Amino acid sequence: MRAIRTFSLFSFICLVGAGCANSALNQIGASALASTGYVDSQQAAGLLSSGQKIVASQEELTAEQEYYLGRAVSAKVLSSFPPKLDVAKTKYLNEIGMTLASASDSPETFGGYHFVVIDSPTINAMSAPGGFVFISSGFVRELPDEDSLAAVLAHEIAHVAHKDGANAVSNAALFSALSEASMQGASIAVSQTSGAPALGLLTNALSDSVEGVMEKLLTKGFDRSQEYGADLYAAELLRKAGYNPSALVKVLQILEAQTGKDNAGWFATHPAPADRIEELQDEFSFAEVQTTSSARDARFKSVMGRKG
Amino acid sequence: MRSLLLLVVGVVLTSPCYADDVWVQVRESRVRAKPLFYATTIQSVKYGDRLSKIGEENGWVGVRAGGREGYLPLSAVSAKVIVFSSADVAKVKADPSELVLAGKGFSREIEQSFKKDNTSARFDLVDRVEREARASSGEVERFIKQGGLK
Repeated sequence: MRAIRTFSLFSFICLVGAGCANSALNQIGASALASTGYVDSQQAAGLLSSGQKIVASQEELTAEQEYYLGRAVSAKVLSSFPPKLDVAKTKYLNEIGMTLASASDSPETFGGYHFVVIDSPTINAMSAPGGFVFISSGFVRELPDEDSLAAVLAHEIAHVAHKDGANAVSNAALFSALSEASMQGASIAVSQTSGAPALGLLTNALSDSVEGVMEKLLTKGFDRSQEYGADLYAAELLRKAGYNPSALVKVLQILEAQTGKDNAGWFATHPAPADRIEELQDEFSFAEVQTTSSARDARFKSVMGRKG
Repeated sequence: MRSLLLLVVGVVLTSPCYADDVWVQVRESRVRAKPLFYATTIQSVKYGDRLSKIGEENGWVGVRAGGREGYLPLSAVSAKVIVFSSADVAKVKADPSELVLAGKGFSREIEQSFKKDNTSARFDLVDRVEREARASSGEVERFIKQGGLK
């Protein structure tokens, strides 16, 4: 009998804590648990509550949450660096970006990818969670062809696909706030009562997360391993999409030539270009070098207003 | 005790696990005829739509939609049950770890609250970027062909 009771208690907690238990079961859970004789009703309610908290805890941001974090980060970025939304250039940039994104393993995000030139003379590019990708007008000016422009966008798509921005702020405090809000939503539904969501808690969590991502984008940068990982992913993405992966090395050589003249933007937040080239050449085979097509050269010059 | 055992066994036998279903986790997507980004659309789907999963290959998930079989990028779907109102939470037979409550957590509502504390943040420009900085599937497909890309 004791074995049966132990089994029952164990089964019950497993069902509530991990399996396919339903909400009705949760409602009657405390009294049923108490009836096993191992716990009193107060302990039973506590057990059930912790079980729910464990299962309600989030391990990563949902696609929708990542999108709203990305929107808030972008709102901050754009307040310092306004977008340059020339129709033809914006379309061209988004056609290149979507060509790459569609070849990635994260081709669709909650709100889709958006590629934008931002007004800044500093060489810089960054991406916000969810697929907002920014490249400075100063960087665009330095790039000689479509494949080089694609190389910069591919590096930023890599950060989006790897969720580097979202992961930088994915800490226990954030998930505790999100889980608490989720629990509130669930308990309001079960008890059929109305109640305010955890507005203050979540607004603070969003503010902290935005601050954390901004710090990475504008001052601290991601870890070196994340940057090397983004370069490697970018080279593979360029090859997959039909661009010349060597364009990424070309971009890094352009940056290398600028080192010392400019210490802000990409220079402040990324490893030294020479180190990135060395790392990339160690990890990626450039053996089958493809040539840049004349059609791509022509449209780059036409849209970007460069002389042949 | 017997009734509790019956209850446990009953729940195990009757609670569906939704193991063969996926939910669309992006605002909108397309079920394609082939596992290729620019393949023909056989059905448009939106956030929270439930689809019956029939397989998975190379970053694509095979689904049954509208009586036909098609494909979506794996990044566009979630194995978690997506519900839209807290009232639906009680109706769905899944525990919270398998649930996503749409519009909760970071959401439009929290964004509005964040805006009040961050009046210099330019959400108006973000809206403009979302409207203007984009390219349609047809445009990108033409762009790829014209540029000798894949």
